[in-house]
Amino acid sequence: MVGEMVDTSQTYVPRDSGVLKLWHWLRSHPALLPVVLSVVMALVFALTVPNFADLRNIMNIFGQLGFLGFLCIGMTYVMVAGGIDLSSYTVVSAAAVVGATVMVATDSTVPGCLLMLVIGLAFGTINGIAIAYLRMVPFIVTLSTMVLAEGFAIWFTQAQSVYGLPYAFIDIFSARILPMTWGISARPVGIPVAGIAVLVAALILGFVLSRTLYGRRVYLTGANEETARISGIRVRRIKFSTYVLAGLMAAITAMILTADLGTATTAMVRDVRLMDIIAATVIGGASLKGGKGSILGSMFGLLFLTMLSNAFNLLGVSPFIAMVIKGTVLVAVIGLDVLRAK
Amino acid sequence: MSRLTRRGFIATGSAVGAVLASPTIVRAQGKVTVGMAWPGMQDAVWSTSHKLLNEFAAASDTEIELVFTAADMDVAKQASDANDLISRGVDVLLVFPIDSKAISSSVKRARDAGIPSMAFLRQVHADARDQADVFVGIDAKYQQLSSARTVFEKMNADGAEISEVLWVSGDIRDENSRLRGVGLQEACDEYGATIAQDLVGNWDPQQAAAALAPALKAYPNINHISVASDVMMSGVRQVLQDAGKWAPHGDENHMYLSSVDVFPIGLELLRSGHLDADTIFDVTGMCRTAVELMPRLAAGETFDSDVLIQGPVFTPANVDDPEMQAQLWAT
Repeated sequence: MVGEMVDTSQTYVPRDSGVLKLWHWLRSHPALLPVVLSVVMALVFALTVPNFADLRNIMNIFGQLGFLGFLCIGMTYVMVAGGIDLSSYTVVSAAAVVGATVMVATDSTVPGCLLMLVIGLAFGTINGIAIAYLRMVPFIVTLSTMVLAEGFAIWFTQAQSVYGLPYAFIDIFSARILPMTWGISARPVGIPVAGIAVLVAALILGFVLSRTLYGRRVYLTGANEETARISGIRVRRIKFSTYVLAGLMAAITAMILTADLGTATTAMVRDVRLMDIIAATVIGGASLKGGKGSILGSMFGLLFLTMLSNAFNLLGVSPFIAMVIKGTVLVAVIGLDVLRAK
Repeated sequence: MSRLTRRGFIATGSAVGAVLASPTIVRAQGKVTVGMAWPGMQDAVWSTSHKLLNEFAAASDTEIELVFTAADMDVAKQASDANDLISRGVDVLLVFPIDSKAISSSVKRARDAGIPSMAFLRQVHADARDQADVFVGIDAKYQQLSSARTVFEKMNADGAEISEVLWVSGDIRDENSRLRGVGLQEACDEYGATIAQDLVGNWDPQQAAAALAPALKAYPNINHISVASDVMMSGVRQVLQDAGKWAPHGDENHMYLSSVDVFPIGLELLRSGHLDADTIFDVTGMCRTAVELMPRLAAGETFDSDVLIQGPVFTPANVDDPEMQAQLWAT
């Protein structure tokens, strides 16, 4: 066959290959990848990991989504709009210690919660103004506010935990409702309010992002800022709003975590969890270049990582092997992001 | 340097023995699974205790399986890890709290699930709603008391005057440091000495040196310095060298030194004769005791008191005894 032209694109992978079809399908429905991954993983773990499918563990996983779910929602909005927020996890601590201090001083829940919201919104506003209006680089700005929030929390508390919160606050935000019994759980297990709260927030904010004019503007801003501007979208306002929303999500996380732990500390969430948040968002279909992603995808991305950690703990796998596997998954997902972009 | 907190009730010395030799021992049947919610592995105490607990568990008469989790100093992750271990249905939850207050919620969840909990090295805060079923930790007061007492005895034997002591403390916010100060005060009271000045070293050799240098000039006749941890000894050495008072025991310029922890620098200075007494931070003893208590806790035995490990005093005379060497973990 010397001299004969061969079309390698035709012969390398047949057009009707199932793998290729699946690849094209996943490329066109990026939010479904984490859904498929999570469902497959849940089934495999349910069959192979002892106690994974036990009601107590299911509710445990659901409750853990409440810890990082709000941060994932905030990160999704920011990343879809083409930015990134590295400060969210230290804003959680800053908001928590200030709000908790007021709660302890006044023995009242409302002023402390309001203050947590104010602190979260304040940091979101700082990020938003610096990035949207002063045109500073998101990575640098949020890295700076990350340090600022952490330093503020340590200074404010002198590195001491804030304790003695009103029981009403703890009981409301860390409550478990509708106790039931199933599987090996001899004692009744309730549904964590934190999990329900993040589910409701994900449904509402997922709808806003995917089904409203504002949401489409967020996508267009992230996909191509210049085109968005020419189209009449107030790009600065859109970017600003995503950082403010991220600050709000950090404040809500502060409330949930403070109630769950019964205390507020400067080390409530560490940088390792920031990796989890970004990884969950990217697994969920968000692109580090902006313009892509969904709340549904991010939530399932988070569910995927939470189930992975949970199963490792149930199996007694060394946390360091677990870190290696999670790191590998993250690299693979970022690679997938690059492939998707091509 | 570990930071310890504790509530008022302590069991020391014979009380530890009483707890361990209790006639009402109830042995758990079969394998005991213990879930470990650890802060991480970066600190020498964390990693050493993890290693020693595994070794003692492997040598235990009862089959003990340790399920290890590490939270990377993330308080929320430690709570999640504890929840996972509770979901796993472990027989005992062993927590090394990152935050002595936040861990209370995990202890409560374990109790709600019918799982007893043991706090290791750092106690659940006294004000917390839910306390661990037993606490295994270090008797920080005894550490400084025994070390200083040994030096006072040595001074008596040497015919040296006992009057004033300079106290190089750790962190003023640290319960561990505070308790070591109480131990020194008790030793001083026993031997008719007074603490001339409390110098805050913040567990840092340079800060210790900065505080000690002017104090040494203010109290030129001082002949005993008690240091909250030998981790600060390099700073103390620097100041004493500058003052011409860095000499081994037997030399007329010798400064009597008592300290705690027995880190490598402590060992080195004991061997050279510069450091006179050093009470070990007995991680080995804590791990041994924790493993001994695990089956009993799993079997439903209750403990009225905390278990505080005291640890032996290292001196230049016994530092190389095989029995003492077996206690070392930080070298």
